[in-house]
Amino acid sequence: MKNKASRLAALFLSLSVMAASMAGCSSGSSGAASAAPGASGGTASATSTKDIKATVTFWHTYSANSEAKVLNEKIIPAFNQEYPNIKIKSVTMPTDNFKQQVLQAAASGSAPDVMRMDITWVPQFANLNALVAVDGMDGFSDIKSNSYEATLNTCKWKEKYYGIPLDTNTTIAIYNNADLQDAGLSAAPKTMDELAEAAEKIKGRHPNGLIGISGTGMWSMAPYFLSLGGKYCDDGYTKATGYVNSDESIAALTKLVSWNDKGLIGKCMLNGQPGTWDGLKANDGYMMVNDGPWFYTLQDKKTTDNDTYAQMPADTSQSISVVGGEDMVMFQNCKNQEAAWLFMKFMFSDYAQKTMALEVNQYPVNKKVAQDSELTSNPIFKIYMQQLETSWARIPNPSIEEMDNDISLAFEKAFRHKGTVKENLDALAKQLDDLFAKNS
Amino acid sequence: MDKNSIEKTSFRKGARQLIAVAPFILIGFVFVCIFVIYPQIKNVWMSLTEYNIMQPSNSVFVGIQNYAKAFVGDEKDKFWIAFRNVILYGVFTIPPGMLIGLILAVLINGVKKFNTFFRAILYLPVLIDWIVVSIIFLYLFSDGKAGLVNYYLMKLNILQQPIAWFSSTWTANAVIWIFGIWKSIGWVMIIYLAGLQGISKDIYEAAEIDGATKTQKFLKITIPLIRPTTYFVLINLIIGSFNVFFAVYMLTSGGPIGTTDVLQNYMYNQAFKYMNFGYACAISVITGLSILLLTIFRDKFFKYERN
Repeated sequence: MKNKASRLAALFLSLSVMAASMAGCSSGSSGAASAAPGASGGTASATSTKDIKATVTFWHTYSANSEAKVLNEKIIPAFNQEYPNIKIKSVTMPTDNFKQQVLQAAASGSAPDVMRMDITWVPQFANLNALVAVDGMDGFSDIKSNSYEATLNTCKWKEKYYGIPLDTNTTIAIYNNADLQDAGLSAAPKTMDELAEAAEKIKGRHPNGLIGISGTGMWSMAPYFLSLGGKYCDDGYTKATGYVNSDESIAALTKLVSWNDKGLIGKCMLNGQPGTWDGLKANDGYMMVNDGPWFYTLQDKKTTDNDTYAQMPADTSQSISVVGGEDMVMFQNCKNQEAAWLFMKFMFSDYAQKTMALEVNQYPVNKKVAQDSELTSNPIFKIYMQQLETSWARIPNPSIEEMDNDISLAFEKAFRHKGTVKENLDALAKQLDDLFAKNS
Repeated sequence: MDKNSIEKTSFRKGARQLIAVAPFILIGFVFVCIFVIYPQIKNVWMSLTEYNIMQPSNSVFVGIQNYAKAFVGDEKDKFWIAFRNVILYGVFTIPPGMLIGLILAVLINGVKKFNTFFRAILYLPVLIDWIVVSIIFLYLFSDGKAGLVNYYLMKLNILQQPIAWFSSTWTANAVIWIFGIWKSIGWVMIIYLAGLQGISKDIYEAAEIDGATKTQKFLKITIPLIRPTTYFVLINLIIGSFNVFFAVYMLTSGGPIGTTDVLQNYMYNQAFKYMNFGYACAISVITGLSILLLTIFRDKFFKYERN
């Protein structure tokens, strides 16, 4: 009898422990679900958008001390003046493994309602069917007409728009004034040949190279490769053969390889030291690097005063750089899409765009704000905005990271003379075509 | 009592015992099913599909296509480089790691004073976060004369010119191996120390009476008696070598030209960077099977008594 009772007690205890463990798991998931707007907010059945009651969860990676502060203390309160019943739950996410976290959240239905997403991720998540197409939403056409085409295209996948532009950036040429003077130049070189000539003149005093290119992937290399007349693919982003291995592309990469052989390109391009920022500051370092607007924001005044800012030098092609930035996207699991869309539109508004531009140097995607005299009076801002007009939005394709890896490896092989330039670009064209076909 | 009734009685006894222990093993069994068996079966299934993470039911069955892609398909060059690097990592980190760990364990075992202090100091690398150590290694092996390793090698006239450690395949791999050895010797030392303390002092005393030298005692007594420990350390280090990830991820990211990639790094990129989940699962199955085959091979050729 006693044995039976103890067995029953043991069974009961075991089941209790299991139940508690399972409850632990399930409470976690219900917690995540409760973060979704529909779960805690009201419905969108109200007659006026002013009356919508909801909670919208917004994931971003704004830095806590500057950008997130402006967002939380200025932008969101301004939104709430207009929509007092929509609560914005602003969540600053860690940047480490961020894509993995977003992917897991999207797959498990616990993604946020809206997110500030890197422009290269948008086609990837759109292709996974994780995002809501917003081109049919109220007011989208106004946003479209007030956006730059290059930035708007970063939201496009298979003829639909899965988000709206939020902020943008590009890279421009930054020169060390002392090196420019040393090379006998009073202003930034206008062409790639002038740049190479200047570097050649003083290369003896710069053992680590003079042109600081940070790698061989699209972000780092495209401003040089494209400005020298190269192309990665056709304008419709459907094919690489005949473009990345065209005579013009081969000539462009061959020129870059010869620069590297002569010691004109900095060691940072192939994983060496110093990095671009340290290299630009050093006396015997890089004469020129190319970087985004954060360079000017994060450097001290002494450094920025010693530098000259200019558009990328041109060559057979015009001066071309590369588009960076973020878009606002809405996830499929968003339960109150109307409220989420209102917030997305507000982030594109003149007020939000101008405030973020003035306070934290986030470059606007709203054409009207970009032409505001308060912003254009800043000479550095002006150069970046001019460069953006001829910048390339990279390849909007779900396989962009795989493509970028293939591009990076092919270019690196050419620089290291593992095969000729033509052999590497021919092989690359085939790899890229396979990836275009995979997602067509 | 006839044969049938004896069988019935022992069956009942067995059933009673099973019911008595069932509550205790039930929890473990359920958790093993949820967290070990199910994921493994699912992983094998995913490796046979072009997996759609948002709508798993829409995943397309592709048979062994993902495996073919790795062994003979478009990805074969990258896959075999990653596989080669894992094997080389094992070859260049396990024997030196075990040897150094054993020597340190023997030395510490013979020290009476500050024994705990030495143990703690030598175990410290195991406890330090991989990412922190990676950053330290990046500085140590930095290019140019400013890198600490380059600076001392040049000062000692071993090098005439500084080495760009991360710019070529073999110097970058060498840094990864040194990192692996440094990180593992503390753990090897602690396990060997436990093994050494299990050897009776009487055996050493008897050998001393017979006139055995220190080297003879080490080779004829210590080494044979810690064979089970060696076996345990070897199994764990081999599994560990197939799981090498952070060292590569942090130090080289697979560069230059992907020539320092290892299986885990390659698999991670395929899954979370390129979203090729089916293919990434195939890589993980190949990794698991490789470890299994190595274990079978080792059992067949290095048989000895296990405790």
